[in-house]
Amino acid sequence: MAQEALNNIMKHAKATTVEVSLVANKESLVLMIEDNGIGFENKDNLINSLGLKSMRNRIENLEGTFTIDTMKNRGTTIIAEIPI
Amino acid sequence: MSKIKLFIAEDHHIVLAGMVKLFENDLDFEVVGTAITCAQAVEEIMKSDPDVLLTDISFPDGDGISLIQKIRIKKGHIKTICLTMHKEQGYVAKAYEAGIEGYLLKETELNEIKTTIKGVVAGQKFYSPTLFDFKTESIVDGTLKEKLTLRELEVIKLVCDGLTSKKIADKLFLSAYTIDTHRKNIYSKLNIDNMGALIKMAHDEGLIID
Repeated sequence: MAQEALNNIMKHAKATTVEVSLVANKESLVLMIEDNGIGFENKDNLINSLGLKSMRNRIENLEGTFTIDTMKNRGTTIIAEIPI
Repeated sequence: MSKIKLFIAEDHHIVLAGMVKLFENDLDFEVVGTAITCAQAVEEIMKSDPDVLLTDISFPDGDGISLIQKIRIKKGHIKTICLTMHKEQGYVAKAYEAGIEGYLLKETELNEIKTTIKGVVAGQKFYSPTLFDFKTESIVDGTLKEKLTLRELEVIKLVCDGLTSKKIADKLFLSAYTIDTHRKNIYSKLNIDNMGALIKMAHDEGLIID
């Protein structure tokens, strides 16, 4: 999933920095991918795009949560949290 | 806009023929010459005077980077792009030092190659993102500060300034959920479970960035 997200960032985000962190908390595994690229104006359209829909489905199949935090010109943060 | 005059140097005949074909019906480009060796490229470029030289790196009689260096001496206005399979940092660094405007891998999609050529003509530099060195940090080793991302250090500073998650979120143009996730990750990485401990550790360990 991280690889797919990084590919998307390289192709579209025009970002200069990407931070990827994978942290195991007591109850969950959290993957965060944060870029400082061009971001998106409409999150709903974004989350329904094919690539992200498949990422979300994969996380939800693991009973996890998939969140996108983005704003135009303010980068994008993807958070995937899977219970352990 | 007039067509961009392109010269293609590539030692494999079939690849060269394919590349010429790809630009054939494009109104933005005109292939003004081709070569299959470095020596031939130098000779032909002098005659055809292209805007851009798109070249492979490996040739039987030399390498594309040296070819570009020769061309630059004689025809400094020609923009240059390497299109190669070589991902090795040595080649990339050498190309960069030689002032080559673009460095693309052969796996690059045609549209991206065309966009890069146009960008290079407009004065930009372009190196495939896949060539970048990724900085990987292990959270197992290293100092506490090294375990944290820049964003996490930013969040720690704002927590220490007394801001709530909502206020930090507003300041960083993020959602409160994202900030809460950062806080949760910070707690895990630092092996603490409350804000008081975070503030104490941030001061004690010098985790507050300017």
